[in-house]
Amino acid sequence: MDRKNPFSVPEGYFDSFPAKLAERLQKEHSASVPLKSRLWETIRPQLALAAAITAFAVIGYLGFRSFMITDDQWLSDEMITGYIEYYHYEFSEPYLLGLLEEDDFYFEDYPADAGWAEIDDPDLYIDYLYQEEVDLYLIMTEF
Amino acid sequence: MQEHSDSELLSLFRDAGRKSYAFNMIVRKYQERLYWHIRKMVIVHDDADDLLQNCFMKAWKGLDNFRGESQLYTWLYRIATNEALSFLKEKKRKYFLPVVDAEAELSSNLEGDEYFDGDELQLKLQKAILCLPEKQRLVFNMRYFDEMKYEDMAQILDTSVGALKASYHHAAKKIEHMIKGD
Repeated sequence: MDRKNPFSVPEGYFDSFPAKLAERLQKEHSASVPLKSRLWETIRPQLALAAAITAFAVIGYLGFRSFMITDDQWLSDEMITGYIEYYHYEFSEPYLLGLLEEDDFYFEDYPADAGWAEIDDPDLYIDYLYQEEVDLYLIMTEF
Repeated sequence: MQEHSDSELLSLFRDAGRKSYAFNMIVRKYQERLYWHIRKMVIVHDDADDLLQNCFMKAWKGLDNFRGESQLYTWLYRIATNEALSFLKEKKRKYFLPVVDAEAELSSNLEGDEYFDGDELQLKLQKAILCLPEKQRLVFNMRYFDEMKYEDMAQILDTSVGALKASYHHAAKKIEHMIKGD
């Protein structure tokens, strides 16, 4: 009996098969890439563009702002001094002198075991004021 | 086009830059043999086309792990054989077809197939082959049409040479009986 193959294929089937297979392999490969990765690949160029535009806008705005501010808009020395004086009045010399008049004033640096008799010693006050460089003349005139 | 040996193709495939080129060469080298192997089992061209694609898809995925313990072509034949047998099994399960009806459907496909060019005697032979159990059909086709060595068939079908010879002998007798008795 004839052993000839009785089947046939559409014309050009074997010529086109490798290309058809390559296409399917490519499709399956694309489908096998995780959705997250594909999404990232898709939006990455847009994100890069958006970041570049934002950076450009911020740099442009800061440059424009520093160019537009005139010297008189910066804080003057007087304003700075006034600010310090306003918020740090409690450290002023008259304030410290005022503290000396108060009955409950207490020398924080004085030894904790010292008795009240020792604290009442006027020389201690003078020593303290001398160490703190308080104007003694002012004390003399005030008291 | 120059045809490379299997070992050359495998070396090319392992070179990352030439992987696709090497696989394309493998497809061109084996597509016809594998197609006819599948086609004789499933009869319909479209089914054979789908299964051949599946076969090469699996080969693409598995070729990285192919260590050359068997020949490339027996490995590919094995994939193709499994694809064809799984397809036939799935078809029977899907349509609840008993064995006899499955054979009748394949015979009917054969008669209506626009890509069957055989004469009346060849049609009779093919119908007789379709009456064989699937594995016997495989053995008969590989030996009778492809003239494959029993040793290669043993590797592909994972059976002993002796069992294959016996199987072929039984198949040939059955076919002879069916053709003479028809």
